[in-house]
Amino acid sequence: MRHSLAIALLLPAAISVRAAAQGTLSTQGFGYPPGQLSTRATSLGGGLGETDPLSPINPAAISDWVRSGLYVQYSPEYRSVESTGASDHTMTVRFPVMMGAVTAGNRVVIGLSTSTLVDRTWETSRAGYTYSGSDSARFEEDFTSSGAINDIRLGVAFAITPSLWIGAGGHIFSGDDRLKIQRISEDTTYTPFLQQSRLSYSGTGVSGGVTWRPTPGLTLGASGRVGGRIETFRNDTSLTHATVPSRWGVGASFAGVSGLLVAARADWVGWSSMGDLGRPGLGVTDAWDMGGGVEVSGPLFFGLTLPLRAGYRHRTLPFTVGTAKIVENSFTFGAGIPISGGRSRIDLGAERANRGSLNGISEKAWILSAGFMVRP
Amino acid sequence: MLTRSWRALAAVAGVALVLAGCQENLAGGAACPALCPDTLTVRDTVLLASEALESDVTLLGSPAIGTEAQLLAADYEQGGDRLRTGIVFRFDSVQRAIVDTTDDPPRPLTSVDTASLRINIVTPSSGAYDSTLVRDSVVTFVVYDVNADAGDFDTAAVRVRFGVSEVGSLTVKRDSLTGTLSIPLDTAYLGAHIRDGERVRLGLQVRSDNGAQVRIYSVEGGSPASLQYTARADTARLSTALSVNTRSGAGPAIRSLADYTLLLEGAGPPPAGILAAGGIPSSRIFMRFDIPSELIDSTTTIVRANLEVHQQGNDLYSSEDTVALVTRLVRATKAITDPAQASVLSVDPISISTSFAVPAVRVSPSETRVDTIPLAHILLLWKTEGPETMQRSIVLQSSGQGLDPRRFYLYSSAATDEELRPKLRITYIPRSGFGLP
Repeated sequence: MRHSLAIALLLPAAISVRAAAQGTLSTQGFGYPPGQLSTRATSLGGGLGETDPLSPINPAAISDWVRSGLYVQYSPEYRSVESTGASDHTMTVRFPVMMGAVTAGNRVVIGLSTSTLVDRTWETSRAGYTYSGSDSARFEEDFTSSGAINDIRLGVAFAITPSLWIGAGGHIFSGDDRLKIQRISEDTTYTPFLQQSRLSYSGTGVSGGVTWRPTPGLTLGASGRVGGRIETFRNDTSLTHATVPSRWGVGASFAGVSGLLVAARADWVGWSSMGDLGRPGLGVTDAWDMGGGVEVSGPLFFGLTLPLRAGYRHRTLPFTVGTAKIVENSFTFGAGIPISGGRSRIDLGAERANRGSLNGISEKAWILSAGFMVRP
Repeated sequence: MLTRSWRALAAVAGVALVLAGCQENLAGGAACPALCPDTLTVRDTVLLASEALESDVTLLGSPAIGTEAQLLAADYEQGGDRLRTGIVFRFDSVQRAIVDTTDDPPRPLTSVDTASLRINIVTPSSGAYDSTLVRDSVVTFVVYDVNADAGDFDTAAVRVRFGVSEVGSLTVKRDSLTGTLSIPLDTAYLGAHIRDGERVRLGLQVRSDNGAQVRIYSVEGGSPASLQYTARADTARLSTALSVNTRSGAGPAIRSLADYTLLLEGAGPPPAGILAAGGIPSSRIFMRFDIPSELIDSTTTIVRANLEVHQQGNDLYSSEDTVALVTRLVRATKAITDPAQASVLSVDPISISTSFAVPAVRVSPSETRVDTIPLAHILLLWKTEGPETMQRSIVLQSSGQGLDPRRFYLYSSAATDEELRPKLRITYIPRSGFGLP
């Protein structure tokens, strides 16, 4: 599944399949938030998030689908973690956004999407010693977590006027986390240790938003989400509950100059409301996500004009290491390839993320992205 | 335009598929332990005998007489202690008449021309009997008439018959101790028994100036001894061979008693208050555990469980050669409370799965030391099976039981010095929360 795009396209949900080792700065707590941004929006530093129909953030932005269609996104992450005298280079696969939309006349667009809210998939291998009395025995431990909390949204956008759209969305947050710890000792008097568990998540939320084009070329967007209750389950037993993080964001894009688009966005997520979902002491913080970028008409590619994109994004990741916040700064790049006269499009993007340094550990990543939008 | 679009699509799709085809590589750990939470908590506990054992007893005469796969004919001294054993071969039913195909009545045998006891020698693992087993260049097998008017288990009445009435012998070179040996028997003795309708019970001993021990296959070993003779009834002649047997008209027979080893001279039973494994006749140790359910019947995982037993040096038949203290698993339900009955249902754990193998402790019984028996895999099995399906008991036995006179002496849970009592040292890992609920 993770290695076959063809199969991935058949998936009913944007399942975040794998992520990095937990021994990283970015995958603490309930995991890494990919951002719920399309490839195009990501390439613009997230600046287009509030007005982008392919980013399941603002339900009013669904209006820009114009025609019915489908969108699938594939985003592998190549992560490097440097520590004193050691380094990891991991490759993780994600399908963070999938979406479909249908139009109902000229004033209503309905969209169904699934996107990864947080991805908690990683694998940590390490060795150590078990001490028992005066004995010690070397062991090798493999700790894997595979799963995510996904945001499934049914959204409706309604045109009040041709330039003013409002939208509303109902959200279901679901997913699971398959956990496994395996420890094997070289001392044969020890039996291999294996523990497996599966946690499920279930939550709800509602969202609303607006997009407005006050003048040709300028689009403004604002949206918010109010989180409902989210619970964790093991089998049928409810373990913990908390509130799905609410979020608020505003953004603008300007395309008033031929061949140029500029976009910017600011987004706030109240991640701390998830604190009770984990064990006491879970480090979680509310976070800002801000960024922007430009898109310009580029060279011809097979006779088609390629839009080229670049951006910068600054955000705080929700889960802390102890009390230390992890900040991610990213430079983003990308291009789009219109197909079928612009009805369909393939977006390609790359993001260079620097997650800083903490306690001698630094983390950087390349996140590549390919988004496929088809509008027959 | 459309063609160009689809060319572009194909090119980009190719790039995407290349990305999709890259091998995922998740394993990391460079940032451990700074970032990796120590999700597993390893704990140790030592369960004293009073906390871990429900009972520990010595089972004298276990395995039961006659159930041995190999029989021992021994006459030697070791470490200043003498061992002399005999082997009893029972031929409770023999052919006493010639029955032909006519309607004539059976013709009773009247005389025996030739007779022999055929025994099958166990070849030592070294490939041949050497001077450590047979100290002289020759060894003599002597056969006695050991028929006694006594019950099956009255071995004392049989024991006194050894050395009384010799009915055959054979001297063999040490190098020839292999395969099947035929020991000529007194034809007059056998003839009289056949004519008089008496059962034939033979006792076999070895004699050697400086000592010898020879192992012989039993019925249980799959190659029993046999009685071969040629006899006459008038002018008719019969040649027959029959295996050891306990068939008789007196009642149900105990088949295992068709052949068995009998101690004629040796060490007495182990002292009271000590756990003993091995020797001739052999004994075994039965241990039934009562491990706290919060450890074994919970989400906790026991990763190591070492049974520590204190061995009291036993200098009888002292030798530096090692013997193995072997652990067997009792495959009986909780309903079988009698240790002797439960021990009959013990098996080598490896017969269930190689993963349950318990390594034997190879040591000389004359040493005073602490033996450690790893039981973690057994505890895992007990947890899986549950306490009702499989009682939590083991049997400790000597690898030389019934063949080697040395015995392991282990301190029991009733030892005066608490430090010497058995202990179960457990390492366990409580269920991890995986860093989440």
